[in-house]
Amino acid sequence: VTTTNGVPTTNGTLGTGPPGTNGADSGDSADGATAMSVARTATTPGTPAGTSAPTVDPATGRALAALLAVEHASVYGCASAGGALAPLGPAAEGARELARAAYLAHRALRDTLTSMLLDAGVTPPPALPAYTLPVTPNSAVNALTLLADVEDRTAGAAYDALATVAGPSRALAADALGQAALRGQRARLAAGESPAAAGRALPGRL
Amino acid sequence: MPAVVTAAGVVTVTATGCTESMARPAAPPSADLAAAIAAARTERGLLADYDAAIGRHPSLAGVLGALRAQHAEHARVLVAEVPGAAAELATTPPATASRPTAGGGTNYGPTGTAGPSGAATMTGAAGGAGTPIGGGTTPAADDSPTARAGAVAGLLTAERGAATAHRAGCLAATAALAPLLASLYAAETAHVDLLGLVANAAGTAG
Repeated sequence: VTTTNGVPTTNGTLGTGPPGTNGADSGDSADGATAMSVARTATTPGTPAGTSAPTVDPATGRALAALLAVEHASVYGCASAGGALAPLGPAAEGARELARAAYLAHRALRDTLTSMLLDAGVTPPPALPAYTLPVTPNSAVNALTLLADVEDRTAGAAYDALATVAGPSRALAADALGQAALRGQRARLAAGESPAAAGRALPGRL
Repeated sequence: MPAVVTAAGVVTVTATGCTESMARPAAPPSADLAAAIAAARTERGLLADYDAAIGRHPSLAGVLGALRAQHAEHARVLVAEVPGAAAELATTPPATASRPTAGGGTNYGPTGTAGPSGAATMTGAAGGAGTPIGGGTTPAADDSPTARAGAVAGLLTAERGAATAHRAGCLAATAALAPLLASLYAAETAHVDLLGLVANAAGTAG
């Protein structure tokens, strides 16, 4: 599996742990094998049928597509965390709110990236039916850890994209990086980490 | 790990590109060099602010010390990864000369040019440029909750200004420097969020 700052490029791996059992809003395909092959287009975006040539340079198209591929996984991860937190009662209310906010933010970024790629004549990579979760969200703390991991991956993908994109795409990636750092820190603080450990000196850089 | 390789590769490209473009002594500073210097000055100014605040309010040393350490890392990376920045910084005015205002952008003027008088904003109307937040030259330390809240509020203003400046720098820089400045923007954004929590605690703790 080739990854770039956590970007799945050849399968649906969100992390390195065992496959997760939760997830939602992961895309249209019900065929994992098909989805895996589609995922390869994340780094080789094409042109939608019946449209003219892409209006962005290939490198920008690939960078945005790679970020979108991560956002598909992030939406899945946030939904998984939220789903695991749902039955945990009032004690997990704060964590649920973090999961909900993260889910909405990643979904919005996903939709924005999809629109940008389509407007540019680039076929956006679709979501996979499921992703391997790096942390099984079997407790509130683990769900928060998963959320933090999701944000670290988004931050890494945004950082990578920033080395390529310019203009509005760069602003989008920079803001995505900033918001991911913010949400990641909040998730770690909620999970009980100290302020010193919750933040990242250089978000997005590994 | 591929992700590490990717991130490192970007860094390498950054350093190499700057080396080639900044090797001519007669040439004016490149936009990236000016941006890196401005960012480094901002970070050094923040370091002074945190030192002053920690000195006056040791009870906040835990959290503020962690944030200070991140700013030290920011300054170190900027100098280490942008060739020419260290030399320029060694021959130019103090760090506070080009610090951003609370809501202002970055002064990317020629090296040595006086920056915005934003330091006055961070020190209060009578503070004057160059005086660290928290009144580092004031001998009698007031460690009351009100004073702590005021110190944290000053740091919040400085962090917001730094975040704004780094984001603007990111959007204006080449793709070689943009990821690093975006990462700094993300870090300061998270600092603002954390300081908000500290401000609440500082204002309520006896």
